[in-house]
Amino acid sequence: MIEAVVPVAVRVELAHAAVQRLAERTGVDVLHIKGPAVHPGLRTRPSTGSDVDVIVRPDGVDLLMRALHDHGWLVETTFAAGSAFDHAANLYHPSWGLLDVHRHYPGMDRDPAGAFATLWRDRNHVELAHVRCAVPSPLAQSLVLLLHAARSGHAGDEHPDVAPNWTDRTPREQSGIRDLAEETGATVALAAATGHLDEFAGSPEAALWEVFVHGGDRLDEWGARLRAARGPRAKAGVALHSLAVNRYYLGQRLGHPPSRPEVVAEFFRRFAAGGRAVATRAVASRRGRR
Amino acid sequence: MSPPADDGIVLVPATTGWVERDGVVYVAHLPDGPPLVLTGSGVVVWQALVDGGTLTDVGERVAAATGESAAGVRPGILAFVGGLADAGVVVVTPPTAHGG
Repeated sequence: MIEAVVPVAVRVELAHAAVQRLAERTGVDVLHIKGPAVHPGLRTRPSTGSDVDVIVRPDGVDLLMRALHDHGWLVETTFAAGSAFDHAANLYHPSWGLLDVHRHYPGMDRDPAGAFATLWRDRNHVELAHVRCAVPSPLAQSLVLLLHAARSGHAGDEHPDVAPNWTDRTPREQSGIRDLAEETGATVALAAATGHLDEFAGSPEAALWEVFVHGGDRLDEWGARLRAARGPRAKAGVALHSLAVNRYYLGQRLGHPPSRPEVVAEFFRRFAAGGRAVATRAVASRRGRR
Repeated sequence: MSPPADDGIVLVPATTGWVERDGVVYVAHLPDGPPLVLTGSGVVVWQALVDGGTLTDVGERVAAATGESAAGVRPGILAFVGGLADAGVVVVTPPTAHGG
C-alpha cells in the first residue's frame, strides 16, 4: 500500500470523483464533460486528456472556487486570463493534476444560467471512480464536443469529434442537437462546427466564429469580439480586455512571476503591437485599392 | 495503529473513490487524496471487502480466493485493513457499535 505513479487515465477519473464530492459538500451543481465523462459511443478514440473539465452552475462558481482553494487546488489561470471567451479557470492539485472549471461554455455564453439549467434538466449520470457524477445527456454531450471542435480550428469533417457527434448522427438526432443549440443560444456556434457558418454570414457572432474556424490573427479575433459584444458596456469591456496583460502567460514567457514594471512594459508592447497591426492593415488596404 | 477487531464491520464510505485497472487498485480518500496503489494480495483483500460485511466475512472471502485458511490470513487482513482505515478509505465499525 504505497503512493506510486498513477496512470494519467486513472488519475483523471479519480479527479472527477474528487471534484464531484467537493461540489456535493459545497452544495454546487456541476456537470462533468470530456474525457471519461463522455459517452463511449461519442468518441472515435480513447480518451487521452490529462485534465478534468466541469461546467458549474453559474451562481455556484464562487463557492466552488473557494472550496477548491481550501482543498489544495491552485489557480493557474483565472477566468479573465484564460481564453477569448473568459469561460474557464485552470487549476492544479498535487494529487489530481489539472482541472478546468467552466463558468459557461463557449457558444452557450449568451445566457450561461439558462444554458446550464437546460443541460442540467436533461442530465444523465456516470460512475467515475465509483462516484456518481452528473453529465449532460448524450445529445448535449455531442453539442459540447461540436462546439469544442469549432473552437479548435478543425470544423467540418476534419475534427475527429465531428463524425460521431454530427455526421454519423441520424437526421432525428441532428434535429435534437439543433433544438438544444437553439435553446442554449448556440445555433451559430453549432453552424460553425458543422460547416454551415455561411448561413449566418454578416452576423457579428458568425464573424467571431469565422476567426476560430478559418483562423485569423489576434487583431481579427479582438475585432470580431468587439462586433459580437452586445451593447456599449460589453464593447468597452472587450476593448479594455484586448489590452490587458495576462500575468500568467507573461510569467510563463519570462520564467518568473512578472514584476509591476514588466507588466507595464508588456501593456505598452501590446498597445504598440496593436497599433502596428492596424497600420499594416491600412497599408495593405490602400495597396489593394490601387 | 491498532488492528480492528475481527468481527468489526468494514465498509467503503462515500468519501472513497477507487479504480481497478490492469490488476491494480488505485484508491483515494476524497476530495483530497492522495491515491494509494494496491497490488498483489492488497487487491485480493480490497475485492473481498468492497461488498462490506464483517472482517470475518472478508477473511473467509480472501481464504476462498487464495486457498489459504481463514485463520491463516486473518492477522494480515486485520493489519492491512487497519492501514486502509488510517488512510480514511475504509471505515471499520467496532462490534459494540452494531450490537456485537
